[in-house]
Amino acid sequence: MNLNKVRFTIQVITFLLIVYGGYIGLDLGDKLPTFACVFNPEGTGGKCYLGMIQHDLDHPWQAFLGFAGIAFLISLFIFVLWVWVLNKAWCGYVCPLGTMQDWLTSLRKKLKVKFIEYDWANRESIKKVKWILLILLLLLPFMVSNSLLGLPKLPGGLTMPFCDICPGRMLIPAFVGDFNQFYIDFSNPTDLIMTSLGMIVVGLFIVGSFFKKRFFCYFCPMAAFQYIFSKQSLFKLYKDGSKCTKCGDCYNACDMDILEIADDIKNKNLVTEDCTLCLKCVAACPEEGCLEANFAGKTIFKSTKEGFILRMAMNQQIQKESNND
Amino acid sequence: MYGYRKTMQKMTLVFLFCMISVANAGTWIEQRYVDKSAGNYDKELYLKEGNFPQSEVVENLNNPTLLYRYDYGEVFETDFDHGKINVNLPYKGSYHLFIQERYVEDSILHIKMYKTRVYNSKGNIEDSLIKEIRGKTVGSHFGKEPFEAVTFEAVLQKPIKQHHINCCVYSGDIVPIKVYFKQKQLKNTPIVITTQQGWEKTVNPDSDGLLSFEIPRNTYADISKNKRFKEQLLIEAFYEENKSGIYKKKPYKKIKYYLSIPLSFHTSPLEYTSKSAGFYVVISVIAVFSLGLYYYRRKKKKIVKEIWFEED
Repeated sequence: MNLNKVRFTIQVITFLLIVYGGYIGLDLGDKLPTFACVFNPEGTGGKCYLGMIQHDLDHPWQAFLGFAGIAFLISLFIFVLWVWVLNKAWCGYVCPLGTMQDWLTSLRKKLKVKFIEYDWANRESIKKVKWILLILLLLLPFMVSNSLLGLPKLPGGLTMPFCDICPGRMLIPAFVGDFNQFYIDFSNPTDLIMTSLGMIVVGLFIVGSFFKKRFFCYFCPMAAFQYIFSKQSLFKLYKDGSKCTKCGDCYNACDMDILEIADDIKNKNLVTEDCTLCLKCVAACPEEGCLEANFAGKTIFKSTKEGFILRMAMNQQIQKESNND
Repeated sequence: MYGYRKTMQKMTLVFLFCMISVANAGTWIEQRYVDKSAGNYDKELYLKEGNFPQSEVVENLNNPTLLYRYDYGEVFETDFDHGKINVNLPYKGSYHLFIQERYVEDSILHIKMYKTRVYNSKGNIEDSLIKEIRGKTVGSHFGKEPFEAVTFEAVLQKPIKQHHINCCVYSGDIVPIKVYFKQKQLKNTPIVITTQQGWEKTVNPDSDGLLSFEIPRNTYADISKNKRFKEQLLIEAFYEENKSGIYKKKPYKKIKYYLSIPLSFHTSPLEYTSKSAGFYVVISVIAVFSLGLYYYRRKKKKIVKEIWFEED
């Protein structure tokens, strides 16, 4: 199996369904663990749960004792179910922002521009950003409607703080020809700050994703939110540590520079908080059955010696062709 | 003689005032939020009558039919109690409320239809469990099919806008409307628009029967402190049918239809947002970040010059 081709095809199909699916009546609901943007109301084939949860949390706490509380729990449960089905493959195969980043990476490769890497000294700090963003996006909308610890209520401009700064809000509607989300709101200081931050993040997203593979995924609060429920998922990435030679091929193939994939020979389940379950590591592993993608107890893709040789030959062929060009 | 003239003038003025009042008198549904406790708001619906926006609550209706139509088409009957309309709805989401009353007066059968969109943020969990699990993505409260339970109806089509907000209507938006009689589009019936600030306009249909109007800028509203100023307008339409008959044992020679739809709108976001500023920021960030990277790499690539000392 040529993973690159399969993945590219799946990404294109899911991108079309998520961004344009609404035009053909596709409705995957409003609890998706991926950036199906609510600001693309007619085109979207589903809606991102991060937008939904921010909207739900912007209510007085008393409201959660009734219908709103039960509705909130139902929504959260459906989100968790979606995560249990695909785990973090939502990031590697479905997320339109992830796909956009992969396309920018391909463009950089074609232009033969050298990539950049995050400084290893700051990796732990970078990892924390997504958790901080997740906490803020859950806390701020709640503090708009509630006075927490005696603090005054926050201004209404913070009801959907992550949507304000999410590059998906600007870039996904742009794919259906709607550029109206590129704006700065001067009506009050909160909106001015949040919409300006949004524009800055879009600029950083475009340049960052061009130079660094999956630049935004390192900071993505959706990745953190998915990871909380990841352990119980049906889709898993298993590693047989006894077969690992620590050659580092899997680490070199990884877009997210996950060291554990090469170093960790103790844990069986290797889906980490940054993993996008793209399965490039499985494709790159030269050891028979060392890494495997498993769905509901069944192996769907595993590392093989033959497969590795075949993939290497393909890569060389691709390289030759690009050199001839 | 002078006294007689003065009395006549006064009578004429009173008559004219009454005529204008009668001409502008309308009936419409009003939504109100009542703070029950600690920011917990309850929605209350009333039927109002008067010269828009001045009004009084309508306490009684003649042979009314009150129906809620849910976004997915299900229809629910509701009741009317001394001016208050029941808002106890099974599902969370968007509904259209239709109130139709019928009565015979001066040998004319009056059929009046009051319509509004109601968003219900609560619901009955037993009824709506499946809908909550399913969630909702597609669908809009604009451009709905005409409702078979009412005879004379206006349907708002998707507004034409130039700003970034999709959910609501704003001044500057163009609102297209279609008027239906017995579920067939009427192509020559005008509508009357009246805003809270007093702007009034009769809109005539185009060749396709589409009635379009641009929501006026609320010039007289002070938006310096509240840039998101909210205002209301009322859409009304009238239609007559030369048809005689008997309704509730009362004969009539013709039927007069009336409909009203209230619509809330805010100040246009174009008054306090800037698209060009947004694009400038994005382009500046791209330029600065790219140049920064370029110079950083160039600095790193620079080969250190070897220094040779003469060893004489």
